[in-house]
Amino acid sequence: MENNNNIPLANRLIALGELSSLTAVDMPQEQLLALFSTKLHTLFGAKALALWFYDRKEKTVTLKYSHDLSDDLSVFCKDAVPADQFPEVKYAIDSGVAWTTEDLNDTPLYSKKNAKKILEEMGVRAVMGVPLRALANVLGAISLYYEKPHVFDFDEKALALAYANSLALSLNNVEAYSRLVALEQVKNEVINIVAHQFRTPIATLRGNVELLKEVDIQANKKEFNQIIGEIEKVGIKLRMFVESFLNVKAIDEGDLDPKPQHVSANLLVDQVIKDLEKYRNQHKVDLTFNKFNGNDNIFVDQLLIHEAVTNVVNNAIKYAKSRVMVKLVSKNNDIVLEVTDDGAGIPEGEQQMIFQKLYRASNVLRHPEASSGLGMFIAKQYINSNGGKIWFTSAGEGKGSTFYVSFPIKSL
Amino acid sequence: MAQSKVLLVEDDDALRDMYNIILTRKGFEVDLAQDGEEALIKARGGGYAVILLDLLMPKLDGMGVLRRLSVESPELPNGPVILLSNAQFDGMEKEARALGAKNVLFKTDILPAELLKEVKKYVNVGVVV
Repeated sequence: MENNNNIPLANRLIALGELSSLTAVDMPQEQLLALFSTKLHTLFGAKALALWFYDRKEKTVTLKYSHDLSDDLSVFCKDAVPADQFPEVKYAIDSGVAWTTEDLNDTPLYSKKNAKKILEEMGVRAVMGVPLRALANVLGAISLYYEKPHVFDFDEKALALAYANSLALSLNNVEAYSRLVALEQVKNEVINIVAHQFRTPIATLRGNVELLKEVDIQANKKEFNQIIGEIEKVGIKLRMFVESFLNVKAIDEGDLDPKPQHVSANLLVDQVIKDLEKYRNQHKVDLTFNKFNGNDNIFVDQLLIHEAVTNVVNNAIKYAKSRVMVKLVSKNNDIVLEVTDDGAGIPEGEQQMIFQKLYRASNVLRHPEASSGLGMFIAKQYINSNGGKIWFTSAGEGKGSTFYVSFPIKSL
Repeated sequence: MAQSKVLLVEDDDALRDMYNIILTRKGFEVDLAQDGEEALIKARGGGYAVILLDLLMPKLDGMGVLRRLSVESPELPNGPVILLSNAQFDGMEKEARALGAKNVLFKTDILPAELLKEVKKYVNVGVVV
């Protein structure tokens, strides 16, 4: 058979060394794929190249990059394709080594799927599938297609594998680096939120202390008490804020330890509404509460659920235009709390992020009230840890939203 | 003492109370508003020597108040508006000044003495305590 590639292996090895020096962790994935694919395609003398990403769960491959692939095949691979449509890909992924035309002969997939015939119709006379693998993590595979018969010797296969391994490792690094960058962003965001949340209370504290210095305590007892009262209030605000961060830390470290007991849902929600009375008045929001008719016993940790429900109702009041409706109803044998507001609603594209840490909807980012972006995250964690669920519906921006919380009614 | 009347618009209780104490202690007559709508109603009545206006508030924010005031004329003339903000947003100060704010103060930096100094720039204090 004719070997249609005359680039010596040594040269290809040197090129691989050069490639590694060209990669960087902050390189876009696309660029990395292009860099390696182009070298493989040209130095290994292939007519066409396809680079696949593998979905382990679905057992499908997706075409991520290609060179000179026939139009038919490109169209066929527009979406995810079952991996066993391409025997060289499937076997390379499963075995972790390179598979060539000779290796594939007589394999079940190659004959059963008539893959050989399909390749021949595409004008492909030889193929090599190389797994893209970084340590135990299989990312996908690369297919090299040849229009003339081609004999792959051991060295060439090993070298192709070295290219693929090097690419896979770079891809892993790029991904790890982007996770690091994302974490860095979260960190900066936390610092911003913390700074923002602390600044006003601190300014208030400093101002009041200045005022206090000038008060004639004997002559003006009333003013003195008022200033002391302000300082106390600020202290409480700061404590609550620190606590919400500590709660998140406890959640992250798996330290939540719910102690469920039988609690009246009506009483619990009623208490939350009473606690928020002052807040509600400040916001000039009307609130109605329809109590549960019948046995309103739920089985939850009272403290955790009280805080979770407080966060949900607090949120509704914060963002409502003028009214909040709270209801306890029966749904599928559960007692469900419904909290509806007529506020800004949640932009459609952001609805899946509501319960994420530090999330604030883009349409309320400049909302007057500083917010930690932790309330709904904490609510969800507390509710879930109690065997309940939280979800919401929102018709979109400007159309308000309804949050639902289901409570378990008996011990699990 | 109409000339020393100050309209203080601030939604944060603690800050509003503090500024109120600072100003009343020095003899200013202070009217309070806790959101933009309330501020607008009071400002329309007019007669304030200076308006201290918070930027971020429920109902109607400080910019909204400025915008409305810029096209309306109050029953009695008002003195300058000082915008209070707790953060620097892109273009905020420029926009505020374009809408007629005389100055922008950052609440995080305001101590009683600074607030008084600013207010006194625009107000004839009739009473000295």
